Amino acid sequence: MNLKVEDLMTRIIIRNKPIGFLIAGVIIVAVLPLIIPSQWIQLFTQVLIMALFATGLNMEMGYAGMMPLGQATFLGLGAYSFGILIVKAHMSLAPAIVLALFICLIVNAIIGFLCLRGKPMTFGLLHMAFNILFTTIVAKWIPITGGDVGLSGIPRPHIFAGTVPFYYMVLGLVLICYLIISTIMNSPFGKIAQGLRENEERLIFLGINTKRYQLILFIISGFFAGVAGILLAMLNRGVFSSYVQIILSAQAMMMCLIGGAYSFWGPTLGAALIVIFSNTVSNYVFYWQGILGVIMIVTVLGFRGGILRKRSVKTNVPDVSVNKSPSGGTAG
Amino acid sequence: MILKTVGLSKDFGSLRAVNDVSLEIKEGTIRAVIGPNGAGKTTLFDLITNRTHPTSGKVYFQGKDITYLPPYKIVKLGIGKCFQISKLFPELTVFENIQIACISRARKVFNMYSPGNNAMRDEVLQIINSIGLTVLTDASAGYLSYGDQRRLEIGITLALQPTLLLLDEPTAGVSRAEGYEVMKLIKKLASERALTIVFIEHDMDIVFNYAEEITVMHQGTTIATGAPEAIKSNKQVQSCYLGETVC
Repeated sequence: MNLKVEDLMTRIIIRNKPIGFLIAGVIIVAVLPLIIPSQWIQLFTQVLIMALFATGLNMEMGYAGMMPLGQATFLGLGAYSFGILIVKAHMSLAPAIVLALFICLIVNAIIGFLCLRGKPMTFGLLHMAFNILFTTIVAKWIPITGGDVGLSGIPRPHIFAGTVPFYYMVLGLVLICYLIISTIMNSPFGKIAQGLRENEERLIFLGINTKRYQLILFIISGFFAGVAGILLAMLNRGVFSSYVQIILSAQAMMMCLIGGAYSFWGPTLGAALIVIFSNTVSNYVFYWQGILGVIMIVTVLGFRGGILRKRSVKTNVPDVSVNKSPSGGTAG
Repeated sequence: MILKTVGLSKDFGSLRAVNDVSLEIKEGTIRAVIGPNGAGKTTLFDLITNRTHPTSGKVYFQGKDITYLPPYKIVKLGIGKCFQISKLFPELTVFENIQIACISRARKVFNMYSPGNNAMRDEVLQIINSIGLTVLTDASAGYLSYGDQRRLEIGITLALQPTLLLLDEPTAGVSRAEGYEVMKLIKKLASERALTIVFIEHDMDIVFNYAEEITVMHQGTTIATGAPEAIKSNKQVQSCYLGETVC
């Protein structure tokens, strides 16, 4: 593959013309650890991980218009398979990561296959049902998962063990994942996702096996959730039942909706807002989740498309329509 | 025979929507399917593309039994279908609408690495040009006039380079003048690409102007098939259109 770096850089920003913002953003997140207090770095690392989780989720939700209501399953799957391999099977770090990601792919494929049996609504409900099933397994299978206490003693890679180096490691990995996601979503494959969002039956009658397409998208999206899960386990040096809870699934969807599900950077912005909000406001206001709920309602009703709203629908139809007949056509 | 149906029937509960329909369509011809509302024309099209499963009967395309193939495979074999109500991607532009069809035709659906925004640009623009929508390339499909949406629907289907085109009322909902424009376009494209066309139509002027062969349906069965002149003088057809019972 003789892809130039510039080519790849162009691809990642194809949907976002203001390159300046991107460069400024990367510089800010890169120098951030040097200027902020160290207790904040942990929080910003969490922001990056949740941003990856939400961006992966958005491949299904924003681009393809699917309803993945239980995405925490896959974050938890990554975290728990990684944690169990380390803590219970005493594997070393690298093989545990590889094996955990492999487990993610296999289980994703199975769950995806089952979820996609029915209609779009069934998909969402089954997705959520698997999330609930997973939560129960984690809570009750105590010898393996540690139940509510979880598993602790997850190591970080030696050279990235400190708070600041770990931040840079996560930043690097998240950017690589972004590059992959943006390449996928700007490819012909990504174009089809938008068609899926608009009209699935039309895609079928264009000769596309939409079930197979959705399954592949599902597996990819779940894979990035798994990556986020492993990173989260390393960040908190442990795996906890909150990683699979349905509230996390809901939060990830809120990140996409508040930030802007039709935009590549929307989920990232949403993740930053929600993670920082929930960690700061919760110190002062007990009912912070209620506030989050209100923000959510206002966004969905008043700012459809989120903060980074999709460019307004093109209506630049020329005055002189081409095939105007004397009587004109009925408006569609 | 490019398309052949044998004893095709469809029951919806106790209603027999399509009853024992056997059609034979020759390659390169333009066939109209006419009949009063509820005659089963649209259901017949749905059966051919397996959008609904037939109760009994068989469909053969180029000699191959396609009765139980999933719709997307039938489309891949070369049957393009335009819907009665345009099925477009309303928030995407005309360009993107056609582009998605081209990506599918070129089997690039699972290509995840090459840039997609300008994928197959030349081919897409050429199709847009052939359906006369060049000026509207960047307009959202949902904002087009009804006639232009019909054109786009035809364009999307043509982008698949089908050998057989099924058109369900291509001129429904557009003015007569525009309807003629659409039909002229279809006829032109058909002769350029050696397409076989089967279309459902209510406008008799259009039918008798453009069809080479006509099949008349009534209450789920075919009551006549033949050249336009023969159909025009067919007593049974006349009585069915005058609302009398056909026995």
